[in-house]
Order: sequence, then structure tokens, then C-alpha cells
Amino acid sequence: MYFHYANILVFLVAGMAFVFLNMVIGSLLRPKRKTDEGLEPYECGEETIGSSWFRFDIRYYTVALVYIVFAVEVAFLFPVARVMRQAFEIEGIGGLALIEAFLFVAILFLGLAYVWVKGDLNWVRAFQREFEERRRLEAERRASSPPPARKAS
Amino acid sequence: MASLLAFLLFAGLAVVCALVALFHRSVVHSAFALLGTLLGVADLFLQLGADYLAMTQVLIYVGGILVLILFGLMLTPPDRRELRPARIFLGLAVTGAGALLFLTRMDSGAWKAAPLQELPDLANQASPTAEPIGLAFLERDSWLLAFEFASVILLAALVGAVFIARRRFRVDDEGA
Amino acid sequence: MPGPLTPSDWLLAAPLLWLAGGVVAILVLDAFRPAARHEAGLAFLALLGAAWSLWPLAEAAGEPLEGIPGLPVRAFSGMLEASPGNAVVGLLCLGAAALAGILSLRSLCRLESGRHRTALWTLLLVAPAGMLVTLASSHFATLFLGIETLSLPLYVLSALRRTEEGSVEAGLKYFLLGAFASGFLVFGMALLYAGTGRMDPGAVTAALEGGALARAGLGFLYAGLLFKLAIAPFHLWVADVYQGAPTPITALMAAGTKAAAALALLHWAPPAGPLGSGAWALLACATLALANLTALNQENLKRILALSGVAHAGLLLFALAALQAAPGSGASVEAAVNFYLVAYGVSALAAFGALELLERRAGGHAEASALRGLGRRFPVAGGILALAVLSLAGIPGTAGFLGKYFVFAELVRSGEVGVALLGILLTLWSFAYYLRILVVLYMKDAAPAGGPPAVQDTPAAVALWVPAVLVVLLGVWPAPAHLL
Repeated sequence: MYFHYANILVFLVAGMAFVFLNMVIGSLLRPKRKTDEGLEPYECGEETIGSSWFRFDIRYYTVALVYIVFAVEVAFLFPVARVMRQAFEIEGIGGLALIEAFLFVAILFLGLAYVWVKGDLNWVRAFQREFEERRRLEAERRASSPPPARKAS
Repeated sequence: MASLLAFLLFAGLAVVCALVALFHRSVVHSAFALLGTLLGVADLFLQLGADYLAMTQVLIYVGGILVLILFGLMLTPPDRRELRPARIFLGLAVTGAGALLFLTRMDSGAWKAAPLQELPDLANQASPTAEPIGLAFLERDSWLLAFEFASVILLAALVGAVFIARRRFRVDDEGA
Repeated sequence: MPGPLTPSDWLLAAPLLWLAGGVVAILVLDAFRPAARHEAGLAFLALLGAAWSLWPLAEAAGEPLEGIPGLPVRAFSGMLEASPGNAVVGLLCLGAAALAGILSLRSLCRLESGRHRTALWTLLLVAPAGMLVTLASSHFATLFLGIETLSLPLYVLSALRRTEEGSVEAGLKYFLLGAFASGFLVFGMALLYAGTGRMDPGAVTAALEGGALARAGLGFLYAGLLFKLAIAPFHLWVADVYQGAPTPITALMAAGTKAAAALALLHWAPPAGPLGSGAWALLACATLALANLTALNQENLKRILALSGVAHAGLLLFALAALQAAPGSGASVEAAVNFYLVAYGVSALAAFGALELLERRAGGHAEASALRGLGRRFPVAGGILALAVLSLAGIPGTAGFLGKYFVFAELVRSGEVGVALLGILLTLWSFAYYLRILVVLYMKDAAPAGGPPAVQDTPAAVALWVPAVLVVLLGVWPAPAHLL
């Protein structure tokens, strides 16, 4: 049965070989000068500030979470897509298969639309929007004096 | 023969990478080592004839969970303290005892699994399981309800996860 | 035989379609018309629709419905199975979500200037959908999906007050432990399937006759279910999570999750076998004793009510013990469990709902010291809380008393008189902390008004009458819920 997956093996080997070969060629061709500057990570000529082990923004995490949900969706849809043509010919499923698959995709697509419209996927503009909203809130708060009750915690 | 060779290769990859993940001092390197383990396990699934499971393993674990783990690690402040070998060896001992128990008792009748209806001829099929699973998702008599309902729970997961990870305001104006 | 959906499929799928439709409508509207604040209206419409479509089944006493062969109704060739009594409990879950929604209108909906209304209402609709699937599950797929679907929204909702440490801690604790429990559950299912080759409740019977593999699976399966039901020794999360979560969400968890998990446990309970009634009775007594012991020295009223919920879940196990001791008593035990769940559900809803209102008056605190004497200052909310506490304690004339009575009656009928006596004694012990709540509420030296005056919350105050009236009504006239 392994021969059915020969194409995957070819991809795997080619991918690994590509990375490896480039590194080997690089190490052969590049000049070897072990000065302090030469050993620093290259950042477009800028000098590095601090360590690169620092905390990343949480927005990376949001994107990863959204990605996982859709990875699971693909995992569900893949076998369905594979048998779609077959399902059309089975009595009792037929065209319903298309509706069923469409429903599944539509519900999740709605989720994506929601997250998108809400600006949770925005990278830079989110700051702007949040800034504006915060200012609006502050203004509202100042308008309604005495200040609204705050819950003691 | 090719099967045996591939099994040795991938099982070895899984074990070696798992050990690296356990013993490497940097958690980020440990996370990367998990990549090899997960791929090795995916191959084991493949060799057992569970092609769909293998694909899911690569897609979700290698592609998704691992990325999530890495981002999770990046979110937390780096912790470069010493490893605690005692804890690791305790874990290894417990797992090893479980594995030993399983290996020694595997052949006795108590652990015998129920006979499966009919195993498809694995040698001649590219995807013995993906197609039956796909049909099961579409048929009312099998998993249609579960399939459609899964989209609802995925939607809830999406909404909930985004809510939790959403940046928060400083303005706390509850109750007004 | 593949084919389009049958009437019974539609009957059990309709409430889920209503809820899912509500979720879709809320998200679409919020994405494209964010200014129109229709979430709450849509959510209540969806809950009402779900209840309306569940109603025919809840009403069908003894007689099969038109076009549907027999009761209990089986849908999707055995994926779901529900009796009229289950449908009544389903209505309770929908009602719990509705009440949680009404209680949130003036509080949780306004958190962080209302940015999270959509998430709140969506999750409030998904949770009861999961409960409905769980309580009707008769297949591993629906059991697992249902449990996950009811838990996932609750993990998030527990952490809704993101700026408060207690709430975030509750969400995280619930999530981590719940994830472990789900792991146990699904691992148990895998072992059971490996050992018996079945995924319906018949797998349990087969496992009891089968090998160690299947039996280990059975143990894992029950560990997962007992965690959701909060039975000792899996009850340690309850007090912290119930306390930290916003009180409307706690009400939903107490009434809904418990009911769904209990019915799932009943569906998947083993037939009389080597486990025997002794094991269940032992678990029940241990849970009751531990919950009582812990509740006695709590200062926080929410924690006391949480531990009271643990004790009530423990009491339910007596019904399982009765089922084990007298295997032929399935129908009457199920009726007793259904009634007990409804009785506990409405009492818990009334209790947590009233506590939420009092809590707001006390500046968000639920400690006994902060709530001192509030029953005098706010007679309606205090009165409802007192009534609910009496019902939880099991004072005659309330729904809680009849619930306990039916369960113990089953136990006596099955011949386990000794166990029943022990159970009654343990229940009497719990009076101590119920009494304490009453004393706190009507204490002479009232606490100084903490914090600013709370918002007048008319919808919540009106909605609270529903469970309060039901507590009394079911206490004197149990027929509608019990005889189903």
C-alpha cells in the first residue's frame, strides 16, 4: 500500500533536500569571518536590541485559534468531498449531499465573517479603531456625570 | 519489507523526537521536536490502514496544534530554568509501567478486542477509510446529525476563542 | 436504509434547528447591522421556538405522537432517543438559558460597554443545544458532541467578567478540568468500542460481560460523566467555578448541566451487573457526606449553594442504586429522576437568580457578612431565595421535598431500606447549612449598604417569579412533571 503514498514521500524528500542543500551550499560559499559583528543575527543592518526570546502579541494566538477551527473543518470536509460524486448516485442521498455539505460550510463561514467584521483579524487598524472607541467611551463617561457606578471588586 | 523499513524509520523518529522534547532545555525546541513525534505517529496510523486518521493527524496536530503550542509558548515569558529530572523520570516510570503491563497482558484473553466486522484489504487500497467516513457523514442512518452538529460546536468554539483572546479595554463601565 | 428525514428525526432535530438558527441570525445581524441591538430578542425567539417544538413530545403522556412510531422517540436511527419526561427536562434546560439571559440583560450584557453581547447570546443558545443533545444521546457520537457543546460555551461564559480574577480563574479551572474529563470520556468510549465493537448503550451491557479492556473503558466513561455531574471525588471544581462564574451563568450550570449529565448517566447506566447497587449507593453517600461537611464551614453563599448542588447530584445516584437493586423498575425510576431534576432545577434557578439580585445590592459580594439582613430590606428577592432554600432542603410543600420523596420511595421499593434511611439522615444533616442561609438573610443587624445603589432590574425581578411559582406549584401538584 505504500506505493499509493509515493508522491507524499517525494514531496517530503524534495522539501527536506531543498532546505538542506541550500544550507550546505551556503556554508561552502560564504566567507568565514568570526568577528563579534559577524556572529550577530542579521536584521537588515540594524543592530539588535535585547534578546529575541520575548513575549509575542496575543493576536498571533487569535489567528492560530481561527486556523485550528478551520483545520478541523477541512478534516471533516475532506472525506465528504471525496465521496460527493458517489453520493449523488446513492438513492436517498443524491442532491441532499450538496445541501448537507453546504450547510456545514455555511455555518462556519458565518463564523469567519463575524470574526472578520468584528475586526478580530485586523492587524494594524485594530489599534486605530480601538483608540477611537476608547475615546468615544471616555467622552460618554465624562458627559454623564456624576460618574457611573463602578462595581466594587 | 518496505513496510518494515518505513515502520522502523518513522517509529524511530517518533521515539527520538519524543526524547528530545522531554529532555531539551528550551521549551521552544521541545515544541519543534514534537513535530517529528506527531509525524511518526501519523505514519503509524497510515500503516495500520487508517489513512483518514493519518491525514487528520498531520492536518490538525502537525499543522494546527503545534502552531498553537508555539504561539502559546511565545506568549509566555521565557523560562530557562533547569529541568527537573526527577519529575521527568517519574513520568517515564509511570508510562513505562503502563506500557509493560499492556505488553505482558496483551496476549491474554482479558485484553482481546472484539472481532471487527471485516477489515478492508489494506494492501490494495489507497484510502480504505476516507470514503466510508465521507459516506457516513452524509447518510441519515449513520453520522449525519453528528456531522452537522459538529459545525455548530466549531462555530461556538470560534466565537468563544476569539472572545477570550480579544484585546481588552481599560474602560470598565459595567452596570452603569 | 438511507433516506430523507423521518417525522421523528424532525421532532428531535427541530429544537436544535431553532437554537442553531438563532445563533446564525444573531451573528449575521451583528456582523452586518451592528447598530441594531437585536441579539436578546432573537435569542429569546430561538429559545421560545425550541420550547415550542419540544412541547408536543413533553405533552405526549403515554400515547405515541401522530406519525411517529412509539415512545420513547428514536431519531437518526438511534443517535438520539427521548421520552416525554426527557422532553420536560429539556424544557427546563431551555428555561434555565432564558432565565440566565434575562438576568444578564442589565448586568453581563453591559460588560465592557456591551462589546461582548453577541458572544454572550450566541453561547447562551449553544449551551442548551448541547444539553438537549446530551440528555437524549444514545450513541457515543451524540454523547460526546453533546457534552462538549454544553461545556464549551460554559467555559467561556464562566470567564465573562474578564477584568475580575475570580471569574477568569473559574473559567480556566473549569476548562482545564473539563478538558481532562472529556479526555477520560472519549478514551473510555474508544476502549469500549475496541472491546465490544458497539457505540450504543448496549456497549455497556456487552462490556460487563466482556474483558478487561471494555471494563476499563467503562470506568473511564463513568469518570467523565461523573465529573460533569460533580460526584465525589470529581466534585472539587464545583465550589470554585460556581463562585467565580457570574451568577446568571452559575444558575444555568446548576440547573442545565446537572440535568443533562444526570439523564445521560441514566441512559448509559449499566443494567444490573457486577457493579451492583452497593457501588452507586456508596458513591451517593460519600458525595452527600463530603458536600455537607464542606458546606458547613463556608462563608460564601454561592459556595454553599454550589455544594448543595453537589449533594443533590449525590442524591440522584440513589435512584441508580434503586435501578440496580430492582432491574424491572426502569420506567418509575426514570420518572422519579425526571421529576427530581425539574424540582432541583427550578429551585436552583430561583436560588441563584434571587442571590444575583441580592448580590448586586451588596456591591457584588456573596459573602454571608455582606448579605446580612438583606432579606428584610428586599422582601421579594429575599423571600424567593428563602423559598428556594427551603425547597433545596426538602421541606414539605415544596418541589424539592417531593423530588427527594420520589427518589427515596424508589429506593425503599427496591428493598434497600437501610440505604434509604442512611440517605435521609444525610439529607437531614444538610439542614444545618440551609438554615444558616435563612439566618443570614433575616439577621437583625443588617449589613451596611455596600457600594452604590444597584440598577432597577424589572425584567429579572419579574422573571424570577416563574421558578418561584413552579417550586410551590410542583410541590403541591406534581402530576404534570411526574406522571410523564
